[in-house]
Amino acid sequence: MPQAAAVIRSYLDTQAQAMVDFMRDIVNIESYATQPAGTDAVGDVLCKALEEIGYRSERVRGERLPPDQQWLEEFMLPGYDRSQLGFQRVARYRDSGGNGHGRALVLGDLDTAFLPGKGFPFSIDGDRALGPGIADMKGGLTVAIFALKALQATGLNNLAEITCVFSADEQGGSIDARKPIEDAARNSDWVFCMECAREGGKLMGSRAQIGVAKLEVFGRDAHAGSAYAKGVSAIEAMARKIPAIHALTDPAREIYLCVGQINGGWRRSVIAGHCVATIDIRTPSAGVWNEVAAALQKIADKVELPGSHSKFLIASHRPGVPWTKKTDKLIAIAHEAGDEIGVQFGVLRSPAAGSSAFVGPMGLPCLDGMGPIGGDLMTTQEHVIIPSLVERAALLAVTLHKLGAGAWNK
Amino acid sequence: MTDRNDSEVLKIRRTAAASTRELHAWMRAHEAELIAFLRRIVDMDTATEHRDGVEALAQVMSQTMADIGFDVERREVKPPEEQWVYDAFIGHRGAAGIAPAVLCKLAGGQGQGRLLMTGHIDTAFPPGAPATNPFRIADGRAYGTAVSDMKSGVAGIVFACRALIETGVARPSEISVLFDTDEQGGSVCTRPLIEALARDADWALVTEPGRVGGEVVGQRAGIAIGELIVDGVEAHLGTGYRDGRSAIEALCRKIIALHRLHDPDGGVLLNVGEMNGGTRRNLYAGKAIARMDIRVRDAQTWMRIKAAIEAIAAADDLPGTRTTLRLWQHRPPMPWTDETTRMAKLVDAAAEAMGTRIATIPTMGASDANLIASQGIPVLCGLGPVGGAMMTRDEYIELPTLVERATLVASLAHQLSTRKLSTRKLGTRKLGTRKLSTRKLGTRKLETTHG
Repeated sequence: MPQAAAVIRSYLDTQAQAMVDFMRDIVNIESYATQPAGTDAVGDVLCKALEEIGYRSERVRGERLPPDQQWLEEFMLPGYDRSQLGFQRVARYRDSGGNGHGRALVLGDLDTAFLPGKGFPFSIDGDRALGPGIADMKGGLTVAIFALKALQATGLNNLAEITCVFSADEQGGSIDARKPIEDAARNSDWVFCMECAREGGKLMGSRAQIGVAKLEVFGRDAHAGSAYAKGVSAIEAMARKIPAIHALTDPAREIYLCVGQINGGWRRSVIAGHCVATIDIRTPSAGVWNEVAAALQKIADKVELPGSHSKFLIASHRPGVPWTKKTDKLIAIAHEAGDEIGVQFGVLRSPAAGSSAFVGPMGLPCLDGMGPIGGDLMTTQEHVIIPSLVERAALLAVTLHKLGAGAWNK
Repeated sequence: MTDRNDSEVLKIRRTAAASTRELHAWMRAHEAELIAFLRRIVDMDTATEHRDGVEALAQVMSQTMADIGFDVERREVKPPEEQWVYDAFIGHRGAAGIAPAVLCKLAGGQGQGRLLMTGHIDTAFPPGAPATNPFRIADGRAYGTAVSDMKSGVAGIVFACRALIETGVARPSEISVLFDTDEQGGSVCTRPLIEALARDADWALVTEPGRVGGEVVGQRAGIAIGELIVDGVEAHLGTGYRDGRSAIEALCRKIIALHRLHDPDGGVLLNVGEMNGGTRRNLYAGKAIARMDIRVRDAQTWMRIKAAIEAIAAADDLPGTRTTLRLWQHRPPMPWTDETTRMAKLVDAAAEAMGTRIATIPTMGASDANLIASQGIPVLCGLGPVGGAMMTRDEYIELPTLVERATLVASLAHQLSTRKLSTRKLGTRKLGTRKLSTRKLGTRKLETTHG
């Protein structure tokens, strides 16, 4: 094992229990996007840990969407006043000696997918640690903090700049986090995102372009017994569109759609005058996104029943990260780092997207899934594999060290 | 008009006409009192779920009927064992339960037979409605909360009974009056009581609103409620697309198939009025539910449609999903029988005596008359005043028909008690022995206004 990797790994081996403790503490802070006290508290823990090793942190806010897209804000966090969101947190290390090389961006999320009150207590079962949001992504936050601590503690931080952006509204579509992430990416060379590693420990080399749509169908309500002839069922018109929407899914082309929610009518004896469906859309690229959006628009516009009409809104809130030559290069460096510390991993193309989605259009390579190996997300079995905490922290720290040592230009 | 062309029949008919005119005169003389009583009960807030309000009116009805001379008792009712049925009709509106029904009996009539009359004192309006929609009269109509459906029919029963007693014309040997407290809740709690009372009666009259065209009702649709619950496999779209099975997709396929059963010309009205599925936009929905209303013209049609719905529910159109079907026919179809035809002739006779015409027709609505008919008892419905705009602020009755319909009810009670035309042996009839009309129901034009 090359010396730097060995030093980092042995430092982190001493931190195994500290990592579990740190993770437990932040898992036990309930922090859905609509719980600003929770996301702020998690942000405080992270920023304090980084300040202790010389980082400077700030609380920032992003921007609201233009008026024609504000439906998306409501859509992502229904009924929530976005001005109440917790702060986005930025923590930055700058090499003062001027010898550092390259700028890395590390992304993480403070909020979890667990709605307020829907969580469960942290627990340990063998080599698994369970908790709400532990895989997505408080385990990943723990890995990031300890990787950066390892670089600092071992004196092996050879980068010019490391910036961390911690989002408070990833579950709310990252609408507020987007600008801080983009601002930081503008001054970065490489991006690492702390989602948990996928099945088999796989990282993600690309992320999908994803978005949402809201399809409303209007019919005419009328009593189903006495006035059925006057009624136009929005439920029926919508029901005819749903199979056509789902049929656009094409795994071979990495196109995925699902109508996640549907609500129509208000009384069984009244022909429904209104029905609304929400659609989640994932595509591999901007070109395919445009194609799918056009197909959806056509399905929406089709008049299924005379007297019915539709209203269709669609927006892509995550432009995604394409797999580029730079991605291959970054993967090769990470593989080298993995080999040095004995961590093997594959890399996949992800049909999902998260906080890293905004760096793709800026031309930055991104490795996502740098967190611990995790599974059963959004369930009461959500967990991470405890030994992978140290392994992944070492992987991130050694990879960063290699970049700082000029691996990118070799 | 005549069943047998002998002098006895003609004499009975002349007597019936004279009695009707006598009842009509009594009713006209008491019109102001009838309107005052109607005003009083319309302005009482009796939403089905507002138990205290229904109870207050139940006490008024008990006192009123006792004052006339009826023996009055209250009958406790309880929810059906099928919880979802109770929830579908009444549970979601509040858990106070249903006020006990009011059962009134009057023996000692000079005529023959046992007559059951029913009206419901609960309403479909939300609690508090009468405060903003009080009883009022304008342009020959009376307006107010549930004035048509069916406070005016309830008032009609009270005054028909009074007219029979006070004029002394022949009336059935026993008259039972049930004031239902749960009709707008689908009568799911009072059904056993209504069916038991029906079995102890020879005929029944129900004073739901008369049709907009002035008709009374001889045949009613069957109405059922249904729920289709699809369990899929919940999975994240991004990471679990291989495992996910969308309950929404499966349900939509079934809804399309269900709506194909809707066939007004074939006597089937089927509406999926509610559909809900999924919890988050980025998950394949693990659960989806549709709630439907199913109306059929007759029992054979119901058997056919029920089988078709069961087949649609059972169809494995999206492997990996599972569907649960719940069906509950709270209103069995009320068929048109030979006895309906005979009773319709009595309506003709009463109308003629009052100098008007009243037709008897089938409708696609339903009422407590369906429950009575299900026990094999001849029944006419729609005997209340002519009204419309049901369940809106504009609900009204044609005021002149208030007296006319109360007279009609009294006249029918009288005529039934004096008829010697029936071939039926009163009081000994058993269930299931009644012959259905040979008249071809499929060719009957269905009237589809409310009720």
